[in-house]
Amino acid sequence: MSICITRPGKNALYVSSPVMPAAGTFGFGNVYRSLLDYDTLGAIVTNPVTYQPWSPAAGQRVVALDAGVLMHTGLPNVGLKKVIREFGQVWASLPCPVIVHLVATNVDDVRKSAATLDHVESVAAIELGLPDDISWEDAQKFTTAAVRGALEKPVIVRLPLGDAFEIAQSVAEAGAGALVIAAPPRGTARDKSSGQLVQGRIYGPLIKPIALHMVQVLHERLPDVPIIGAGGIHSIDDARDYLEVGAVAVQVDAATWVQPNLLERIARDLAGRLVTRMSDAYPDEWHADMGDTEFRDRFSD
Amino acid sequence: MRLTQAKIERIRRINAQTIHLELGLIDEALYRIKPGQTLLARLVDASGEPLAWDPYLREQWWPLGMTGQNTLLVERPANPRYEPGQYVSLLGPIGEPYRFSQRAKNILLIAYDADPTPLTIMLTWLLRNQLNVTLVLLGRARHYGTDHLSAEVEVIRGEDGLEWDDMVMTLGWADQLYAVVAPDDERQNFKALLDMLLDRKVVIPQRFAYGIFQPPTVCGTGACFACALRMSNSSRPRLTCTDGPAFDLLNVRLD
Repeated sequence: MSICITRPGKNALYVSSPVMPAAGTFGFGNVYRSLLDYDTLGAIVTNPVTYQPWSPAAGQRVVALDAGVLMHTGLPNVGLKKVIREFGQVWASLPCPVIVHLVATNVDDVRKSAATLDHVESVAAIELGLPDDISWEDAQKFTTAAVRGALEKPVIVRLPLGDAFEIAQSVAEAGAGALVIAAPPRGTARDKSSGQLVQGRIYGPLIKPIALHMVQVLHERLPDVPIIGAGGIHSIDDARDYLEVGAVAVQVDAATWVQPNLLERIARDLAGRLVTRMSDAYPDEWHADMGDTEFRDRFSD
Repeated sequence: MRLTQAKIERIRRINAQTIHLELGLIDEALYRIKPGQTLLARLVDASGEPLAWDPYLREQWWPLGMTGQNTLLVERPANPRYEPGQYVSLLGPIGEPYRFSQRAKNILLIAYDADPTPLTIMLTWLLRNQLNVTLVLLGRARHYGTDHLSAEVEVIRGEDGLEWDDMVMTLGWADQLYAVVAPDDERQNFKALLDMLLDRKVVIPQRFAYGIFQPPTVCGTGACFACALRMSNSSRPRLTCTDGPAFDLLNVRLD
């Protein structure tokens, strides 16, 4: 199975499965290796990276919501060059393509970052994360900077949920290879333990209908631009819904944190791979993390 | 780290606020879980599917260790949701075990306005290794019932603040200290604890005062960076879920 998830051309990105983790949910590539079979994934999208190092946010960062979570991490990372130094070898050893998520901080940094990543062989594509409340002119500038920096690699642009309708066209015209619809929306919630109001991104199944609607409308409006659906996927059917409304692939976000094997199950299902287990298997005897004890007991003789 | 499943076999009430869950069908990989390592748990149905997405995040469970019947003992706040026969999805072990100095003989444990479970889980191990233990319960923690603890553990109950009788003597006696504080603003509460130590003890050596950090754990794998701590001795943040939960308070930026 080979799926092109970007616009066709010499920089097009082909993947073996239309399922990948979303930026910010999967670390820098190696943290889920003991829990998931990476062979089943179409690609891996790294945690957000900036040209300069960023520190963690101060104060309360996580608020549990009804059927969801609000998080504000501050996107801590050690800076692009150190990230490449630390993880370049890891990425090269992974069985699926690696997409580095670049935070759109300022135009100059984006261009320099894209140019740097362009020379890293183990990176297959760049995903540019646009900030919330961005104008279409700024979105176009950021996208142009990334596309001009990365001559050899496709640039996928992740749009903020609130502004996707306004900026999708201009981002596509600026040369985006594909659009990710969309980044988790921002919200404010009160943390019960501290009594403080906390701002951050919202994750949970309730995001899906909103993002799904956006994918549907934007696919009708921009039929030639590949769209990767993201937001609120918590079941195989959720992922299939995105493909049905026109997405070429999907990104699974917070579900990976709370039920790690779900990502692999969705990937297996959508890639047409084996999704059943032995009829008498225990529930945790599920491929990647099959319980050794039971496995040995059952098959030792 | 593994994603496995277990079954609640028995539930025992050990005091007004706390229960012990005995988990059966435990994966062999969890037999070797050490004090300080935790599990992220979620109630699931018999086929391993989550019962609901509310609560969304997995609960952080502090295991006490294996029992003679190959069940894993876990200490939890009393909650009528737990029933024998329920299945639990377990992600773990999470984090690093507590580290004790080889020369340490006297261990001081302080729970300030927080559930002392992250401290009490190490008691069996400490006593087995013939270390002397004092447990200081301050603020809300002083209501924690301790009848189930070994008589070898000295328990001191203080007042609302960070003070108790003979505290100068207790601090001087201790070779190593582990503390938990209210999670609403851990850094500020640990800072208050560290300031108190600096006031009462002339020198705080490295590897003496450890804070057990308990921010809400989202992924437990180091993927989400929600539990990142800024360190005073490095520009690189450390993650509570993978590098913690215990950190030398001198190395954490508490400002």
